[in-house]
Amino acid sequence: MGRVVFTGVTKRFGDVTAVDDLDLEVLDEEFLVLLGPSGCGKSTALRMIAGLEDPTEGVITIGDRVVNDIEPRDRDIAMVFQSYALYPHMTVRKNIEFPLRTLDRAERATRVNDVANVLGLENLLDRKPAQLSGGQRQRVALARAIVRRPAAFLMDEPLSNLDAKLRVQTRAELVELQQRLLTTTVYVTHDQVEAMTMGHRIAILEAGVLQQVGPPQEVYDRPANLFVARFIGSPPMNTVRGEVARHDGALVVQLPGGPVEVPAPIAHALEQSGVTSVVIGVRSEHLSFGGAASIPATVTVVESLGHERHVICRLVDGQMVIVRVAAGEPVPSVGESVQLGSDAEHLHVFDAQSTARVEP
Amino acid sequence: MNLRKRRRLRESGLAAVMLAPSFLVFGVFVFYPFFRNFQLAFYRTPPFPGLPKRWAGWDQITDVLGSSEFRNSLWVTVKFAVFTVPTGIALGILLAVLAHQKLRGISIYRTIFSSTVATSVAVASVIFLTLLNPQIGLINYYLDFDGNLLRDQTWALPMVSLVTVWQNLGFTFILMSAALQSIPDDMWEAARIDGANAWRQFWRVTVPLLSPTIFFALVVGTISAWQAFGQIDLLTEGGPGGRQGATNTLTYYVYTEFFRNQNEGTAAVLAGALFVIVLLLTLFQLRFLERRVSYDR
Repeated sequence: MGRVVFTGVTKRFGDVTAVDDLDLEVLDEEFLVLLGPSGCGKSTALRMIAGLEDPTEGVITIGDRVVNDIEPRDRDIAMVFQSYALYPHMTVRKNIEFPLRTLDRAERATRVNDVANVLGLENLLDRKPAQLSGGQRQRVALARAIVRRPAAFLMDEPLSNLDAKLRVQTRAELVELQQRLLTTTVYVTHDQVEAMTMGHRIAILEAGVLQQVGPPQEVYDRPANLFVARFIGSPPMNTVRGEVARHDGALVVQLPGGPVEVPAPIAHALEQSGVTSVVIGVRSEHLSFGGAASIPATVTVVESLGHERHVICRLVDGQMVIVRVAAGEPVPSVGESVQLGSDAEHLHVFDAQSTARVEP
Repeated sequence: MNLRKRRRLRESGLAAVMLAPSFLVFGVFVFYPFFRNFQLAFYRTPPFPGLPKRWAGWDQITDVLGSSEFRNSLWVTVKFAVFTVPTGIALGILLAVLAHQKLRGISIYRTIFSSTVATSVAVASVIFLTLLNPQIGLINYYLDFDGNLLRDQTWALPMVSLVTVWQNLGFTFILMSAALQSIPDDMWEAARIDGANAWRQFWRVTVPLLSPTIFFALVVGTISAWQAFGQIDLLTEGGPGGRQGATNTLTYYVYTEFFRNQNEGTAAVLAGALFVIVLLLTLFQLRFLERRVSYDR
């Protein structure tokens, strides 16, 4: 069983709280991504599972065991480091073999050869790490982790040292490997694209505090707060401040340039909670030019990415908004005045004070 | 003469001018004495000053190298190197590993451990002369030794070695500490996760990654052991035991032959032998031991 559970885990380094009262369960056979900007505590959380850091408070369990006082080597986990941490003085074979000391020679050789086959390292076994490319080293680090058949894999930004093209390829290979081995995997990254594409679930951390846990699509569609809304998605979600107001008897949000109607259940929730200041969020693909409920803006830049274009506009008060337009669709020219509109169902409303999502 | 040729000539002239000062210094203090030494080795120094030197050819060389004094000093120096070099490196690594921790106040220990680097041979010798003093010495007290350890046939060399190890420890410690700090922490973290206990981490990760530095310390330490002089002069003057002294290392033997006995000829033969031995030792280390060093990073 490779279930990993954090219960009320806090880690402080002097005055700095790296991880704050974390409650998180990683299911058996799950691929969970810990996502957040640098310094958010995601690596510290991972290192606490590994036993490289001790929690200041709280309990960590792996399988059915509380591991707080168990040495890293007895935790039945394997870790892939950002730097790969290959032993430079050992050949690839010796590197992969290193965790298998307790097994006999024949068994070790079989295991190493099996793993080398899986990862295509057969011809590199007698080389030293210095003679390998970045991608090959990454695979050796992976081989050293899977050769142990541990209860859980811990990966600390394992793709960040690869070039962009190789990263995309390795991403898919890692997912494939995890599906095959069905080993619980905790994967740390600051790259939201990696998180979206790889994880069964994503746990988003900011300043040591868990913001939201959920499947990628859910996190994308229903971000729990402004931080998640702005962190997930590329380009990031457009967010504009507004005030709750009444317009012809209906509850609306007054944005720079005009009022916007919100769906009735949300309007109701706003009324109930008495929130007056809100942030309206809308993904760039959900914005269009024209439409009924629309606010004025001026086009300032048009970026072409080949398959799509990003039209960057400024509202009357100077706030920036990005509109995503598929290639082939017409786009306004720079300097043109436009009306930006969106279906009410695609609007996300956040309490400006607490930054939490306003839900019916 | 075309332009390029003229320019090249002018540049090599300039190069010669710029090299001249160091060439002069090296010439006077290194090259000339070096070759002069080999010339001196073939002349017997007369028993009384003022008489002419006599060509002796290979006779003097075979005489000196065949003498029991030479064999004694050779054996003393080998023992001295064996006592000091491995011990010094091992202790240096030990202290560096101990001090390579994130603990409050660890820099105080680092400073203490490296402090002997700022100590001269003379100061180290004076400190140990006090510690080894028959009346008030702490070492004598703890060993419950009645007498002068530095005048003792068995203990003199170990005590001189002790001073040497202590005096060199700061340098070895700094060397090993710097090397340890250049090893990324995740090497040990990976080893810890991969099931290695502290012992295995040390032998399988730390030592191999330190091997270039250990090798450097070995080569430099061996050379300096063969050249040790100050502590012997101050502590024992090569004794006890006169010309067959228990601490009469080769370098010290060269010194006494030249300055005390004023025998240029034998001193030159001994100095030549010292040169050849250190050269061969270093070549041996480079040729055979360096194979076991891993420079990969």
